Amino acid sequence: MFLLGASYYFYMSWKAEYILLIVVSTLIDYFVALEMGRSESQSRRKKLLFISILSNLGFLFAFKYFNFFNDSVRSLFDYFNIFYGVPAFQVLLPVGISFYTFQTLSYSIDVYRGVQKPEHHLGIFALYVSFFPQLVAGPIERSIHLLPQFYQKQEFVYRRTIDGLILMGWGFFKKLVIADHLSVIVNNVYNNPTDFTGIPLWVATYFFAFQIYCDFSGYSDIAIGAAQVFGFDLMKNFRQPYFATSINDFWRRWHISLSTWFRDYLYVPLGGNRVSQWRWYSNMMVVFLVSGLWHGANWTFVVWGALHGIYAIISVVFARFWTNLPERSKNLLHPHFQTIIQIFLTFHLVCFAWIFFRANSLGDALYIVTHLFSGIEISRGYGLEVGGLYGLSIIVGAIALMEIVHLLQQQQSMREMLAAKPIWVRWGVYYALVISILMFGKFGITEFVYFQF
Amino acid sequence: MFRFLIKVTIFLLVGTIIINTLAYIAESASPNPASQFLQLDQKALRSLLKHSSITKAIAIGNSHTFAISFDDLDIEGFPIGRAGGDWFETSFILKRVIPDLKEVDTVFLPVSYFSFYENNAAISEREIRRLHLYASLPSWSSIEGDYYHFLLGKSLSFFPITTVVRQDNWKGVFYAMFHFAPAHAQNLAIGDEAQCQYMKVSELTAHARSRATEHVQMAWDLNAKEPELYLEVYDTLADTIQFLKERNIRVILFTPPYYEAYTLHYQDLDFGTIKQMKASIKAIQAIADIEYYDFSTDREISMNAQLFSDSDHLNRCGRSLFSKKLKDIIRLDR
Repeated sequence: MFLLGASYYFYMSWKAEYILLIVVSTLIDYFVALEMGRSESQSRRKKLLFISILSNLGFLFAFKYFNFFNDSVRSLFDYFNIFYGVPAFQVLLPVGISFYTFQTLSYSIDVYRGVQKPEHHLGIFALYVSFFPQLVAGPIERSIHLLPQFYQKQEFVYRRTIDGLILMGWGFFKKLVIADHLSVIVNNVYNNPTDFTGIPLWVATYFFAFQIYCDFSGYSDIAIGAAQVFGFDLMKNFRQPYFATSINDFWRRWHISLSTWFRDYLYVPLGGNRVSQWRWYSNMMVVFLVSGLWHGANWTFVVWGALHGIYAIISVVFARFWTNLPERSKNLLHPHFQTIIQIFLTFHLVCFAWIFFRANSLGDALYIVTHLFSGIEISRGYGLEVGGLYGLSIIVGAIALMEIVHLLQQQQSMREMLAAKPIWVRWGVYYALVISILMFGKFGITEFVYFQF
Repeated sequence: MFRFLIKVTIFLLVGTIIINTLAYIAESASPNPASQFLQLDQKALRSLLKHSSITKAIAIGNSHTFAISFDDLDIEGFPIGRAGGDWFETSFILKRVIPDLKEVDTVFLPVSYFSFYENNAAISEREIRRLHLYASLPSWSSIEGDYYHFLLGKSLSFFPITTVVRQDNWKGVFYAMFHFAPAHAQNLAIGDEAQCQYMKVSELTAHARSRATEHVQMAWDLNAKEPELYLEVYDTLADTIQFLKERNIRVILFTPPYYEAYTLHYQDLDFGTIKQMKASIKAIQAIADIEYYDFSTDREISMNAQLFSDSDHLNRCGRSLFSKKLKDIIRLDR
């Protein structure tokens, strides 16, 4: 109950009245699931599931998408000079709504499928919905993983607490030292793209790739670490995504909780890959389009999603082509070199899509795309001068350190590696982490990128 | 759990030593402006209490306090101007130091155009000044409800985080240590403090525009964030005046001279705030025996750029002239 109170207080410290949304959503799904558990009738269970889906997606639509679709329809009507009088819905987007609605939806669907028993304890269920470490930006937890943990007696475990604190420290390092420094340069270019051509657009795009990774994975690490300190295990949300060797591999490493959610609750129900070839491609595109829309109410996110859909389809087509190649042709390059090329290509495909994700409008995105190779006529410098050479050194050094850690993690978890070292090495690393955050971190009011979703 | 607590304690103790070492290195190589404010606060309060037996008057408030020159007022007085200080802090300091200043019979309080819309605890860039207040004042109480800043402020004394966490991410320190020449801020001043440094009219006017805009924006932002702030500041000021009057201390409120462009630009952006400030002072005067002197548009001073170090602060010559004019009006020998 303490954790539930703390979680509600945490959410209310942003905007108190919006706690009502979480409470209503919690109550609806709690009672719907209980009824589904009592009902033998498949048709009645389906109707109850529909209530849950409608209410959760209804809240999401009202607060997040109504104005987007309304504006799009208005633009269409204006194009044909037809009067359109539906006003905009003046409301602030509730923080974390995309995350907790998906989390409660997964619970309702799992109960419907019989995978999860309905939770009878309202307080425990409310805690599942609102657990503060992952409430505002994930990971989107499954009920079968998180709910049972609330019934376990939590005892203090030294190693687990230390690991949780280290993970939080690493998250703060990624956010404050890397992401927030990168945001200065990225914002300078992406908020005024027409002032730049060529190299600055490349640099800002690469930097955004690292900014969004460090920002989001940094938050995830803080959330997972905080939960760990309290004795709870949350799912891993990132697994060195820029080491992916294909787009499918990328989505097994990036925002894992969301991509598995879409796989289990949208892709598989649509038929997945157990359908005709064209239906399979269509399923992939639908999933990525919805994923794009989930990220934001803007056509740039839809295009971002569509690009990944196209990548996924092409990779399936290419996989077939690759399978049919003679073995001799497949082994022309050394496997390590082949892996490097795959990582390089995948990274650039992802970066190209990030252009649309970050751009403030489709016009800006198209400008950037069409001016990537337009020479180096610069009216406002490279865009890097806002950070200065010193700021750039911090960024490059911190990213290099992060990637070294990632490379080492391919062999063994850093925490296991540290645990095996003598105390003076461990404490040296801890102090270095804390002091580098204090010395090189950007403090002040900076939001986490994924809070806007 | 016990083992964990022991290790955490040792970790924090060693961490404190490291933080203090880093703070020493940073301050030696390249003093942080924020920590310089703290040092000034600490020095001022120590000096004041050291001279408590002879101090007859004090001037206390934000940086506009320094418009007063006690030498030119011809009185044993002490200024405690805190750059960016707000009324809550001024009141807090007064209530703690006045009991120790037995000889003080006059208190000067500057009232700026934006004074009723200032609360450092509510502005993230200025929270540090609230921490400095608690770090420099030897008191174990806080401004009402301000426990968070109180705890952080008290911890500054032995855990100088604000000296290690620098806006420039240690760029100034490393540049100084490795003898790289840092980019110098453009020095617009002509002359030095002894010679009454001043800016060129064009630069002073530009400064006035940006400073007025900054002050107006701060007031608007705070008013939007804390609609009750104006009333809270008013109540704090009224309460402070009552505290001083109960001790038979003469209270003199003043608005110092500002460069004319500052006032003009401020009025253009937000005349309402100035009007409201003056109305509030009038309301307080109606219920308490206090004096208010508005020199903000004094023609002899406000139109003379050479009397200002920047658009809302007088230089040494300006302070001298203003203080002499003030002395003639208030007649401190009465």
